[in-house]
This record gives sequence, structure tokens and C-alpha cells, in this order.
Amino acid sequence: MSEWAGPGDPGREVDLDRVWLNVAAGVWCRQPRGPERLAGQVLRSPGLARALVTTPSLLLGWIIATVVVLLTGAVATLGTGTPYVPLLAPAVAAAGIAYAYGPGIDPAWELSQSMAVSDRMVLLVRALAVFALNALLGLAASAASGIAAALTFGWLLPMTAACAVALAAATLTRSANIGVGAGLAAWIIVVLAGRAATGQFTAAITAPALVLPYLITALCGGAIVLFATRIPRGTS
Amino acid sequence: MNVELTDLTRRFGRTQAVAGVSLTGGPGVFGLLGPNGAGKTSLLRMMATVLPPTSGRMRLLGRDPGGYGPRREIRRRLGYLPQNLGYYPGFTVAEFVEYFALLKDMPASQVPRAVATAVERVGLGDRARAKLRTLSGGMLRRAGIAQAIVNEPELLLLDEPTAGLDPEQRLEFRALLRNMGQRATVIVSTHLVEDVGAACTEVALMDMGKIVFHGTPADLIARGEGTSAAGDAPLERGYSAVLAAARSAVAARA
Amino acid sequence: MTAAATTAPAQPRTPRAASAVPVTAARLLWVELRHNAVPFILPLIAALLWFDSYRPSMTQPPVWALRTFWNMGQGHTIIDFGPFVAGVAAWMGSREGRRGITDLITAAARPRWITQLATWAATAIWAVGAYLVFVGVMFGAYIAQGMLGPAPWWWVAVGAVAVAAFSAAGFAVGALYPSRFAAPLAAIGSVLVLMMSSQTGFRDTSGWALILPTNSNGNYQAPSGIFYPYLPDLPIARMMLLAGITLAAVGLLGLPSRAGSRGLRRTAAVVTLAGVAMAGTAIGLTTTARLGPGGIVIPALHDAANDHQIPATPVCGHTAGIPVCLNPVYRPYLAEVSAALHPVLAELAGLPGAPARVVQVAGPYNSTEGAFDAPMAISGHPPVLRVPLDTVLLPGTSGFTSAPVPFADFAGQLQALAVHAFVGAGAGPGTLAQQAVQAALLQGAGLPFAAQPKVLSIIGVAPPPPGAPAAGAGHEAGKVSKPVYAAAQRLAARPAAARRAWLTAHLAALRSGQLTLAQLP
Repeated sequence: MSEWAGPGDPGREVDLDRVWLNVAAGVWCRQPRGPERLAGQVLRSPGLARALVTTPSLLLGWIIATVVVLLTGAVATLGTGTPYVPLLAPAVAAAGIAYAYGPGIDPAWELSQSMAVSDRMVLLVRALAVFALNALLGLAASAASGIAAALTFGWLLPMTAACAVALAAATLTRSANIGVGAGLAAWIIVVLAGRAATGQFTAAITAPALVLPYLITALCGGAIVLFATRIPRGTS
Repeated sequence: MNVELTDLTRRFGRTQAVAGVSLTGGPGVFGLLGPNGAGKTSLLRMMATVLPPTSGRMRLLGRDPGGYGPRREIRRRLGYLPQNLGYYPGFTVAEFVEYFALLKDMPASQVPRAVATAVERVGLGDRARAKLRTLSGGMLRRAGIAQAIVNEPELLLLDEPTAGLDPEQRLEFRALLRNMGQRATVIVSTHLVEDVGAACTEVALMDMGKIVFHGTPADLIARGEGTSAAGDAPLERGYSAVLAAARSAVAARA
Repeated sequence: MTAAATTAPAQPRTPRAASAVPVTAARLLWVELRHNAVPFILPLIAALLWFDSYRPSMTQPPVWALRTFWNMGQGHTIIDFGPFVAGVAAWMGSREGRRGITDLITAAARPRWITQLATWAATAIWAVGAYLVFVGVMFGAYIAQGMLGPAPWWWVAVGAVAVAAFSAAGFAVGALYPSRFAAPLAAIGSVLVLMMSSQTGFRDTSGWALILPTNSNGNYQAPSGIFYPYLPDLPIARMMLLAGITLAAVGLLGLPSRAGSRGLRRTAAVVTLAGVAMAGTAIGLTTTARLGPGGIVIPALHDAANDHQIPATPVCGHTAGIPVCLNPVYRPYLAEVSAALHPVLAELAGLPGAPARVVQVAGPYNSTEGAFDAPMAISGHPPVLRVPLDTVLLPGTSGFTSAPVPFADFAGQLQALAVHAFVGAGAGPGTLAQQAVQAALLQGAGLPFAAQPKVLSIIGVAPPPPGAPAAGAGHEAGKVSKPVYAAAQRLAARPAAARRAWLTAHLAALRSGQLTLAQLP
């Protein structure tokens, strides 16, 4: 069979071509695994589901690194009593969110921009998935390190705010590294300011006065992301 | 008409990459020639709806890409090969083409056969399950072409598609272009004048953001006859003559 | 291809000009400096430094040792720089792999390790340079506000070497793991390391944990630089550790076969081993550390000359007819100290054991952050009240509270400490009789009963609450404060002459702990 030929070319054994293509179609295409199939059903879009499983910060290497960091924090907590997991989890999640999307980390960014599946939907799906995974891993590590319930769950809101800052910076500047830097810096400032004011590292997680600022930060971050990912209308 | 551009411009800061381009086109193969920095890639990116124009009107496949819904429809029927093709090294050829078939909202049931067809058409059937990181530059380019044609697009935009292809593969690629051009509007941006001559029914020459020539390859050849323009082939001489004339007109105006 | 005839004589090879090598290296470094990513992160670090290092320091009095305790002593400048420098350095280290130019670099004439060293050097120069500039600006702001005492330059040096170490470690992570994920991994890993460094061995006075770069233990306290020199022992050990880490990290890059020739790789191995040895030696030295009067002493690194107090001519004033002498660094506080002690010195004047002179002394060096358990003492003939001024909250800005410390609070602390020493209560709350007499004397000096518990709590001599375990050996547990204050009120209500007469007769028994509450009038 010659190459570069279309299926409708004259003089070809059309039946053989069709048979071969059907065989090839069955052999070459990968069967989606469980998570991708589930995602496809939930999202009602196989394209979005495939985009989700190719998220850089949902790749196995990244997940392993996240688990290692949180596990180290859990072990250190058991050894010293300092609750490292609630302090680390927001930073790790912010980095994961910043690395979920963008030209800095997606090699086929240019191509993706021309696709029918909107990149804003891809961003939303990826960000939510990364957030959910980090929340689950963080909760597991918190529970394993035996810290109090207030700390075990208390970092979810700060994590949301840190992720919002990271994602907003990443989408606005189109750089995942700037997103990581912004998220990390914001979280470090809050933790250290809390320690300066109260002498406790965990003040950033437990202080009731910070609930409203975290919520506002998360909302503002979301608004910035929506603005940065808006598709400019055409001129006609 | 699949493509209708009216006074399209694109500015990057103080640089005007595309300066008032007007073009219409229906089914067929349309060549876009020009020196480096002429604005070909920017024009193609605007038509691929990756870059919004600064001003002007654009209608693609009878739709205005300014709206979310029409743009999505255009993208479902669009095939695009960018100049710098990024890829995922861990994907196989088939997975790569399939990924973009899904992102083009192709019905899932049609995707496997469409992928197989596209991969065979670009001659990568024997490397369909090879990881992209193991492919040569030319094979990667062919994988990029495969993802562009997987959805049988009505508008196919190819930026430097023959980069890295050997002469035999370029011959086969021209045959593919002619085949695609029977049903779709194919716009090929290239430096290689002979590709345009062999496959294209219409040619436009860009320089400094403007279209300085629009016609058939024969018209371009005619522009070079009787001149002392540089070039080893008639098309090359026509190309050089048109560019020289355009630049001296600009210099005279300045 | 046929073999060429070899009749032509061999052309002598032009020797490479000796000056071309450093010029080329300098040009390479210049190119790397111009294209380094560290400058992009500097605004973020500057904001963090202002928020975390400068702003909290401004709540401290203008004494170098106090104002830099948080940012230099507890390593907060290192925390501000470390994660971001490590992340950016990892980004720079992974540049070759991410851009796919490893083959290009390997095939070049210059060895790959040398090229990498140039990239790292540029990163380190930017990072350390920025650290020195930012700290310099911060210190300049301090100097403009009028600082007392000498600056802790050893700790500035520790910070600079720490920044270099983070850049080296981050660069090595990026070079050995050239992924787009190397940068965030290095940054978050650095956060974890610094958090653990801050929290490990927090209250130890010996052991390997003292070497951790942000361990706030034993760095320096308020007497440092004023009464005793800043001891360089621990800074030297920390710099050895950090320099060892730096050497080991950059040496590692020269070990792979693509790094260069066999000789170069041997050199890299030696550098790596030297770094490991240096770090190991530093840790080993630190395990021999002990707490001395002026700070942490590491015998192998110690200069005995640093054990002596810094000679200084005190500045003196008078209050209630008694000379008050302070270290010249604390000259701005002389008037306030005199005014604060005046009421209590007037109250005690003429009583047995009343101080004839007030002298400032260095507080005992204590590794625990924020310790205020350094009581005053009255000793000698004639009796001298020895005041460790560096352990109280000085008036003006102080501590991490948002409000400045008013003079009244400062005066209350000094008065309470002075009376506490006068009644012979020692380090704890004292016997019930001593507590009652103390309360009456403070009332007479102008510190009302209602305000006394808070002041006693601040200076760390408050009696335990009812039902709490005994305060310590030799002291009667203070079970209920009401009888104490009832006795104090009775004593305070007596006419001044009668009260003074009773005290004159019973002070010796009071100080020796023989007097009970029932024996008070």
C-alpha cells in the first residue's frame, strides 16, 4: 500500500484499505483507563477527559513527589510535634495548580489554543482535579500525623486562597514558575506574619480573623483567572 | 467562500506584523510565500483563531470567529499545523493524533478510524505505536500533519509543513495537498517556492505585513521574465522580482 | 577516501595565549550574568524581606543585638531568600535539559562541568549580591534611626553563605533532574528544610542541632556585642557546614561521564569529598558545643580572648541620691532608668541592705527565646543593685506587640525586680512573707496592688495559681494570693515610720526565709 494516498484514490483496493484501517483503528488507539473513562462520563467530553489525564501536575512523577513531601511532613510532625502537613499542603497545592496549565509547561500550547474544547474549560477541569487530589492527599497525611481535627481540616481554606493566588499569577503572566513563586511567597508571608504576631506557626491556619481574607483572596484570584483566560472578541 | 479577510491587521507593540491584508478563498490549495518576518505566521495564527486581529474583518467557513459559539464551530472544522510544533514526548504517534482528534470534539466513535486513516495518509503506519521522542524531525512533522488532517478539515492551515521532510516525502506531501484541496481550503505558508509551484493553484506573496502579489504560479513566473531578478528557477525569479518591485515602491514613497 | 601524502612537515601548533583563558571565562560569566533568572525573583524577595525581616524588627529597641535577633539571629533573612533562590537555581540548572541543548554543550570544547559552573556562579553572584544589598539597605535604615552597639556581622556572613548553599543545592537538583518540575520541587523542599531547621533543637544548649542555619538557639542575645563580643564559634561552624554543602553540590555536577575529562572528574570528586568532609567536620565540632557566659562556645574554634567582657566606661546619673551607672550603649535610657528606680530607691533608702549604687550588668546568656527570668541582685559592701537591663522590655517599641511599651510598664518591671531582689526572693516567687512585703513596698513605691500581678508575670516571678504545684525547692507554695495581699495591705497601711522600724528589725529573717505570713504586722 503506497503512502500519502487518500482512501478515495482511484485504482486502489478499496476493500483492503478499509479492512486495514479498521484493524489499525482497533490496534493503535489506546483504551482509556478507568479514571479517564470516569472523567469522560462526568464531564461528558472525551476531549476534556483526555486533557485532564495529561495535566502535568497529575502525572505520576508529580504525584509521587507530592506524596513524598507530605509523607516527610507527616513523619516530621510525629517526631517533633510541629504540624508540618497543614503548613506544607497549601504550598504544594499552589505549585500543583500553577503547573496545571499554561504555555510555560504545555509543549503543545499553540495547538491547544486552536482546539474546539475551550482552554478555559481545560483550565477549570485541571485546576479542580489538582485541588481535589491535593486536598485528599493532604487530609490523609494530616490524619496519619495525628494532629488535631481543627488543624486537619483548617488548612483547606488557606489552601484554596494560596491556589487562587498561584493560578491567577500563572494565567496572568502565562508562566507557571511565576505562579509558583507568587503562591509560595504569599503563603510564607501569611505563615511568618502569624508566627510573628502569636508565636505560633499554625496561626495562619487557626486564626478566625483570617477566614474572610482567605475567602476574598480566593474570589479575587478566581476573578483574575476568568479575566486572564477570556477570549478576546473578534473585531467584526 | 471559506476564507474572507478584509483589511486584517495585527500589531505587537509598535511592530505591525500584518498590515491590512484582504483575501478570499474557497476550496483549493493556496500558497503563502514571503521572506522571514513578512507576517505569514501571524496571518496564519489569526486564521487559526489562536491570535485575535487588532483590526479588520475575518470570516472563516462562513462564520465570524469573534463569538464563542461560531469560533468553536470553526475549530471543529479546522486543521492547523503551527511552525513550532510542540509535542508530548511520551505519547505515541497514534495517541498524539487521537488526543487532538478528541480536542476537536470529534465524536468518540469516529476517532479510532479517523486516527488510523490520518496516520496512514502521512506514511507513519509502521511507527504508529512509537513514542514521539524516538522519531526524527521529519517524522515528527508528519505526525503534526496527521493531527491537522484527522478531522477531515474544511480549512487546513499549514505553516512550514515540509520542514525536515526528505525530497521523496515532499513529493508525497504535495500529492496529499492536492487531494485535500479538492474538498477543503488549504493554505500553505512556506519558504520553498517549488512546493508552491507544484501543489498550489493560487499564490500570495507577503512582505512587511502586506500582500504584494496575488495570482497563479504562472502569473508569478511571468513577473520574473525579462528581468534580472535573482533565482535559479522561473518561480524564484518571479518571487525575487516581485519583492524587489515592492521594496523599491516603498523606498520611493519614503 | 584515500590517505593523503605525509611529506609535508608538521605545522607547529600555535600556543593558546595564557590571557585568553581568563578573558574567555570572564566573558562567559558576563553572558551568564546577563541572562540569569534571579533578577526576576528579586522583587518578590524584597517584598518578603520587608514584610518578614524588616517590619517585625522595627518593634524592637534600637539596639543591634535586639533589633536583628529575629531577622539575623533567627535566620529569617535566610528563610526569605532560601526557597526562591533554590527554585530559580534549579530552573537555571535544568536549562540545558529543558531546552535540549545538552548535546550542544557536551560537544563544545569547553568541558560541560566548567560551563555549568559558570551558570551556577552567575546565579550565586546574583543571589548573594542581592542578599548583601538588601541586608545592607535594611542596616542602613537602622543606622539612620540611630542604633546602639555593634552590628552582628558574623551572622550576615552566615546568611550570605546560606544563600550560596541554597543556590548550589537548587542548581544541582535542576542539573541532575532537568525537568520543568525541578524548580517547584527545589523551592518546596527548601521550605520544608527551613521549617524543620527552625523547629529542631529549639531549646537545646548543646548538640548537633545548633548547626542548623535557622535554629534560633544560642545565636546571640541582648548582651552580645555590648558586654561580651559576638562569639564567632557557631557562625564559623555554620559557615563550614553551608560551604561544605555548596562544594558537595557543585562537585556532584562534575562526576557524570559527560562532565569532562577523566582528570576533571577526579577533581570534581575531590571537591565533592572535601565538601562532605567540611560539612561533617562542622557537625562534629558542634556536638562539642557548650553554653558559655557570652554564648555558645565550640572549644576547637574558640578564642579565649572572647570570654572577657568588653571594657567600657559606664555613664552615670543620680536618682534619690544614689548613683545609677549604665553601659555606654544604653546611654539613651539613663534618664528613664533613673526615673523608674527613683520611687523604689526612695522607699528603700536607709533600710538595711538598701542599695548604695545601681550598676547595669549583662543578663545571663540564655538560649531560650524571649526568656525574662533574669532577676536583679543586691550584693557587695556597700550593697550594689545589679540591673540586667537587656532582659526587660525597654520603653518605646519592644517585643512583637503592636503597641509600644509605655514608660509605666517599663518602670513597673524595674521596680518589681529591684524590690524582689531586696526582699531576697531569689529566682522564684519567694516565700509568702517575702511576697507580702514585696507587695507592700511596691505599693509604697507607687505600683498599686491591682497592677502588680501582671508586672510580676512579665518578669517571670509571679506566684503559681491556686492549686498548682510548688514553685520550687526551698520556697513555700503560694496557694492563695488573698492572704498575701491582705498581709501586704496591713503592712502598707501602717505609718511609714512604724513600717520602716519593723522592716529594719525583721529584714534579715525575711531574707533568710524564716519569717511567716502570720508574723507580719
